[in-house]
Amino acid sequence: MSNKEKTPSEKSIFSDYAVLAFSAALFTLSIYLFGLTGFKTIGFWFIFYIVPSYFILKYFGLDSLESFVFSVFITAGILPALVFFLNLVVPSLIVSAVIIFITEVSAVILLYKNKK
Amino acid sequence: MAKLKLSIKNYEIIIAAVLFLISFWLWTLPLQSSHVPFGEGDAAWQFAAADQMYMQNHASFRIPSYLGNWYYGFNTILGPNAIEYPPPYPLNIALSQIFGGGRFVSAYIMFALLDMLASISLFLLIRKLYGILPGFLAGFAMVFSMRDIMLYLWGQRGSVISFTFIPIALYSFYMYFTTPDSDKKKNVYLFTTILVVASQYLFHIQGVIVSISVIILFSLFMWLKNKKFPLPISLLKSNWKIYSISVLLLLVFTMPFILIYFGAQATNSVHINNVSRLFSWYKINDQPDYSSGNIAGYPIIYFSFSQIYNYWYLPFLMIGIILLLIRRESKDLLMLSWVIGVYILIHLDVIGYFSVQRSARMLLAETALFYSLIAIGIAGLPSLLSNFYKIKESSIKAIKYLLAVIFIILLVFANGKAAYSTLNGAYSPILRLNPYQMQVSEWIASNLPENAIVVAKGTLTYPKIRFMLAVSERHVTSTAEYLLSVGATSPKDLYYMIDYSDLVLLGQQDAINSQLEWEKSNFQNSTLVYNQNNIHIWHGNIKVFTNE
Repeated sequence: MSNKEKTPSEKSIFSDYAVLAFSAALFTLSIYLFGLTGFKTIGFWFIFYIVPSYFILKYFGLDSLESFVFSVFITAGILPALVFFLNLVVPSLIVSAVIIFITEVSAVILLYKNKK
Repeated sequence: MAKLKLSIKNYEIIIAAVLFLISFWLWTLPLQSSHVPFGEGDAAWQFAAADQMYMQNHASFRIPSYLGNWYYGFNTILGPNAIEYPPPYPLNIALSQIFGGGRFVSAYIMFALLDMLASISLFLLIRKLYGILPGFLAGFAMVFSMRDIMLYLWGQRGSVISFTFIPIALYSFYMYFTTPDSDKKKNVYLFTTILVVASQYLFHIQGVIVSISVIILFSLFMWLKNKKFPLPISLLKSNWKIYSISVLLLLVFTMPFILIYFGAQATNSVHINNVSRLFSWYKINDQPDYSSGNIAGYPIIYFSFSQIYNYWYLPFLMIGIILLLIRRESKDLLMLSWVIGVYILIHLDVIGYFSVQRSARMLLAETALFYSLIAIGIAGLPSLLSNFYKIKESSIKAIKYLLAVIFIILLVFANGKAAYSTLNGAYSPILRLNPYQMQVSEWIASNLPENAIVVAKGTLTYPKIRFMLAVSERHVTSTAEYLLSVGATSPKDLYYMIDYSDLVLLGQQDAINSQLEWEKSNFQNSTLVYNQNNIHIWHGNIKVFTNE
């Protein structure tokens, strides 16, 4: 798994473009197939589940493919579990999910701020 | 700006994205044709479990009685009205309904999305361990996995999702195990392994049993190979904080839900049962229902190698196993552990630990394994042949890619075509709730008390009755006899729905006439509370408690 043929910055540029292209294609497909509801559902999944965890996993040194796939699988169970636990105290699923999302984004900002 | 040089390795994220997009398009075909929920009884239950969270904007260990009455008293520890799966699984669906804005469409997009993930999970494992070509072949094959597709359509979706986690759980553990102790990423893989397995557990425990079994077998093999205990005390001592946190994390996400699994009624006693099954990979012709074409609820095609895979793939599968046995590198031992693990688990019915129905579901773990072995066989065959014949390096490459192209063509035109026609033709409009059944469900939701029990007769299929339960948020059933016998309801809470709408749509006049006669003779003393679109609901003095 040698990366001799490219520098880390080149790899990063490509990976970021690839992830952007993927998200654009997925949004387009979801709108094409299911209209606004499809866009909102996929958008929710992508923004709530994937984006924050992808950046957290990348921060800890996983490559783009690992970060993407791990973020899909880890968040599928863990994120709703966190929402569920919070919902035992906060009597609204919507509010619980928003609080968890804010916490996720804050964690990403804190991690990358410390990195700099 | 740095010049962007692309190597084949750069394309891995693009390949994962393409696999994801193809899967998303294919697996949502039943939803593209109609936005009405589909599936068998389990599908209705799993939709209802999520939907009640969405409707209440709240999730808990308890479920409303209209849903709890379905499997009344199923959990012997938590009692009636206890949820049957860890709540995070249906909560995924409920959150998609809330934020996606579609009660049915958003829920079913999320079901499809979670069920179709085996391709990217397997792509990651095989790509990282064996290279991009076998990774792509294995991942692409899983897009069309008929076994996964069948269970997804029928509704055993928690199981399907849980089994998609196996390759990534194995990859994560493999990376943890093989990363040197001095490398900081070892701890990262420890945490990803813990979180992936915990996440898998929150969908269904059966997938976790496979992951843990293979991880244990792999650790044993590596112990034998390296003659060194896999988890030395020195490592535990020097890294005790990290290991303590990881164990704590695992407990936090698993223990709160343990009684959901432990409380489920066990129906099998341990006893030796048909040992001859051990000498076949998965024997079915000894099953009592074999001649009827249905084994423990599964059609014969579910077990058929030729229909799930293709007989042309069998030589490559064997070559894949031979290559693993010859090389026996760490990654090969992981794959062999998977082979042995699946073999053991699909034979647990021999000691009576599992019913055949449960062990058959374990075959879900076989599909990703077999496609991995086939892909390894295809990519490795030319090199294997070069040990016996003089073959140029360029020719080895050419043969490898030629075999891959043939495999892709076979996949697309055999498995792909079958998957497309199955998904595209799944659950025609008559097998889903019709507009009149939707309308009566909404009326029931608005007009009948929360503890109402509605016995439905005339509706074409059992799953449709159960989908009316989900949509109406009232207990719509084919029989109330059990609930009456255990005192969970009383005759005054009973309603009887006579549904002619499907029969009218099918033009079955004889059946309509006979049902009308039956209705006249049974509800003379009851009150008609709903009479629209060929659907009648009666209340008071109900003397019939079943639709049989």
